[in-house]
Amino acid sequence: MFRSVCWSLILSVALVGNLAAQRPKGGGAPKGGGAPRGNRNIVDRWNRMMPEEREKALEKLPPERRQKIEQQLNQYNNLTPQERRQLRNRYQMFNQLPPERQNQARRLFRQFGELPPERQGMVRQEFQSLRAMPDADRRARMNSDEFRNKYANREQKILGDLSGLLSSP
Amino acid sequence: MRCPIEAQENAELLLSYSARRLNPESTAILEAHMELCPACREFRDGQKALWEALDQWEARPVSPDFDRRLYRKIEEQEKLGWWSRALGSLRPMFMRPALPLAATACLVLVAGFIIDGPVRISPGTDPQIRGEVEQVERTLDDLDMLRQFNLVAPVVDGS
Repeated sequence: MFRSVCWSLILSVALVGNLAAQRPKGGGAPKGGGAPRGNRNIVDRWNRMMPEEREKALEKLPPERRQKIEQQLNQYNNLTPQERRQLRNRYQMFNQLPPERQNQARRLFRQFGELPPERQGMVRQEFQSLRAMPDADRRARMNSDEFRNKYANREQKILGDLSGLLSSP
Repeated sequence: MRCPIEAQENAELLLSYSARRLNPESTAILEAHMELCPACREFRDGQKALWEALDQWEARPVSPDFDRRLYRKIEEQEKLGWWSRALGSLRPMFMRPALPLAATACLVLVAGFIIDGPVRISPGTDPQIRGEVEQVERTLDDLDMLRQFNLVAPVVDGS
C-alpha cells in the first residue's frame, strides 16, 4: 500500500510538472492588453472564459456593438494557430509604440474603413507593397504618376500616413 | 557475562527474562549483571512496565450474538455465485493500486483543468465589466487593424 502511494505521488509530481512545463513561457505582457501569460492578450483570456460569463458581460451592450465584438472574436478564432501567434507578436510590438503613434494608426484605420469596400482591397494591397520597399523606393512610388492616377487624394493621404508610421519615430 | 545489549547475540536473553521464560540459572546470572549494568536495568524496567500493562488489559467481552452473526455472514457468502466469490477475493488486490491511481488521475485532471481550462472571471461590478468589455473592444479593433495592415516595419536594406 505504502509503495503504491509513493508511486502515485511520483507519478502525480511528474505529470503535473509536465503539464506546467507545457505552459508558454517567457515574454513580458503587452502594455495595454492585460495579457495573462506569454504574449497572450485580453482577447485570448476572453476566449478562455466560461461561455455564460462572456454572455453575461456582453448582454448589456447594444446589439450592433455586441455583434461586432462577436464577429471580430470569430475572425480571431478562425485564424490558424500560426497566424494567431504572428498577430499576437504584431500586437505586442504595436503596444510598444508611443501612444500618439498608436492613436494615429487607429485614426487612419478608421478612415480606411470609410472607403468603399471595393477600394479597401486595393489600398490594402498597395500598403503591403509599399511596406516591403526601402524608404527611397516607397517615396518614389508615392510620387509616381501611376500612383497618383490610381488612387484618390484621400486614399493617397491614408497610404502616405500609414507608410509614415513604418519609418522610425 | 557479556552485556546482552552490547552483544547482540545475547539480546534474546533479556526478552526471555522479561517474558519470564528464562531458566533459573540464567535468570540468576542476568540479574547479577543487571545490578551492575544501568542499560540492562533500564531495559528490564521498560519491559516490566509493558508486561504489567498487558496483564491489566482485559479484552472486551464478545457480544452474545457474535457466533450467530458470523455464521449468517458465512452462509451469505456461500449463497453467492462462484464468480462473485472469485471477484470478491480479488477485489482487495484490484482496489489497492486502483484507489491511489484513481486519486492520481483526478489530481492530474484537476491540475490540467486549472492550468489550461476555462477561466471563471469573478462577476465584478458593472463598471468593472464595462471597463473590461471596452478593453476587449479596443484590443479586437487593434487586432483587426494589425491583421489587415502590418504596421511593424520590415527589415529592408536601405531603409
